[in-house]
Amino acid sequence: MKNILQFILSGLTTGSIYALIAIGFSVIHNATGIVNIMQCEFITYGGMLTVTFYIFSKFPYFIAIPLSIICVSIMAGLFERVVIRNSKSKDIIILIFITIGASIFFKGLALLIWGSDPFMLPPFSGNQPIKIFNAVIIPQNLWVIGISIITVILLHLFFHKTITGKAMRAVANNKKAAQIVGININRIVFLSFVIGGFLGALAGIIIAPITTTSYDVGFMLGLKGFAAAILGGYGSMGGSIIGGILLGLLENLGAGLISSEYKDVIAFVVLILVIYVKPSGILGLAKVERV
Amino acid sequence: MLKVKNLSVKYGEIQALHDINIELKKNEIVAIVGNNGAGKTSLINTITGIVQCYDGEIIFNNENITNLPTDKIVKYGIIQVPEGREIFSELTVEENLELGAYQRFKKEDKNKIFETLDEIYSLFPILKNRKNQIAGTLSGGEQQMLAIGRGLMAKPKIMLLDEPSLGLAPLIVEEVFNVIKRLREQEVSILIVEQNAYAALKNSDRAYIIETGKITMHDKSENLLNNEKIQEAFLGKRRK
Repeated sequence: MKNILQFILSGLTTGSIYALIAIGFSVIHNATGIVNIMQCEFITYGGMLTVTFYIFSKFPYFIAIPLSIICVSIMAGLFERVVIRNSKSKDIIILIFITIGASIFFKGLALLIWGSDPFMLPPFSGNQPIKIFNAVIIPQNLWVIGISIITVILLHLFFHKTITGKAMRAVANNKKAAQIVGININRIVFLSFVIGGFLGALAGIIIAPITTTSYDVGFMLGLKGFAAAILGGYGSMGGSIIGGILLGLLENLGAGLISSEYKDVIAFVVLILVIYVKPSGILGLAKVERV
Repeated sequence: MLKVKNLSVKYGEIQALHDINIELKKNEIVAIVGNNGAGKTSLINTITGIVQCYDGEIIFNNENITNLPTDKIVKYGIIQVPEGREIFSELTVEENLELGAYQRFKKEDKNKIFETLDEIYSLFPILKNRKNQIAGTLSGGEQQMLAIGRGLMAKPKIMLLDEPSLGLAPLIVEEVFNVIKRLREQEVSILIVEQNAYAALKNSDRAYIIETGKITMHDKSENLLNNEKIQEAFLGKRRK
């Protein structure tokens, strides 16, 4: 029991990552109605490009990280512009399948480029553990939590204070009305992919010093982020945050207090129970604002 | 100002509009009256580029705007106030109004947009009282006011109103039409499509009657209001 604070701190760290990924899923879903499986690859490429720029090209972090995020955002935007927009069928199921196909393709490409070995990125600042009461936290956990909080605040300001952000919420709320006031829906869809790419890459980069990164790291993280989005209420930013944090806490408390072998099982059983009782997720889409 | 020439619209095999010719002059209020399914909404949606036309032309100030995407049509100042009050129900009243000026944010000073916002608030004081309320919680009449206010935020040259009286109590209908008539002072030309023939004819200069996708009659509104055929078909009066 005395380790409970430790589990909570670890839970908040992974939870923040899940929340960022969940918001990425939600933003794209709200603009397009699809579940973008490519989100997994945004995570992978964020981490792996940083490996390339930092370890191989020897750029410092403050160049390597923004550069990787920009590359993945461009990749996400291009994916929408070239692949999604030109799809002959606008059927949601077909579009989702296109994202699955693209995801498999990019995973294979990552294997070709970087091989199957995992890479370790060094922490952003030192490795000296910090003692908080009877728990120990490494500085990277604080980086993850801090960067996630700042990102969420910036996103909130974007969605509520800028006309483009408001237009994105308008498209999520009522596409026909958005068209009528003169919003170019294609532009908003494009932007949603860029934001999805940004958030996926960011999550993949800041977690890499803790868990290592490899060509297939995005799949499981993406799945958890997707689960977090459903848990909280798919499509909502508040729901994504709550779902992400809750899933992170469940996993770590489950692993610590019961058994680490059952960590995924415990988390997903709770997920299924929540969905069973409240299909719209904890925050229930009907009442909350979408992003 | 706005001319629709020989317009035809098809949904697959079904032809919704046949050879429609209408005209809207500067500062005019023109009504298009017809029953459910006559093609009224199709006509408005085609003018604003939501529906593509099959044949014919739409001309605005000598420019061909046929089949342009909606955001381009909005740039010309042609604004639709949709049927069923398609407002942003999850956003606040003020955000709804700001989004009405979406395209102006890119090229105009913000203060000018807030000036328009103040004008809308003085036109509809109720919206000012509720500006921070979620729009979905407004009453039907208030939502209609919001939809009109949002349209005005774009500083339109032409406003296309789709069934502004739909689902409103008679007193509120009168209020809405009073507002519409006042829009003329702001140099907005107005095209109203309505099922409520009496309200539409009483509050417009000219009117077209549309039946199963065809224009069947066109005259000054007061003449149509006194026309026996119209009275029988739309106003529920029996022939003596």
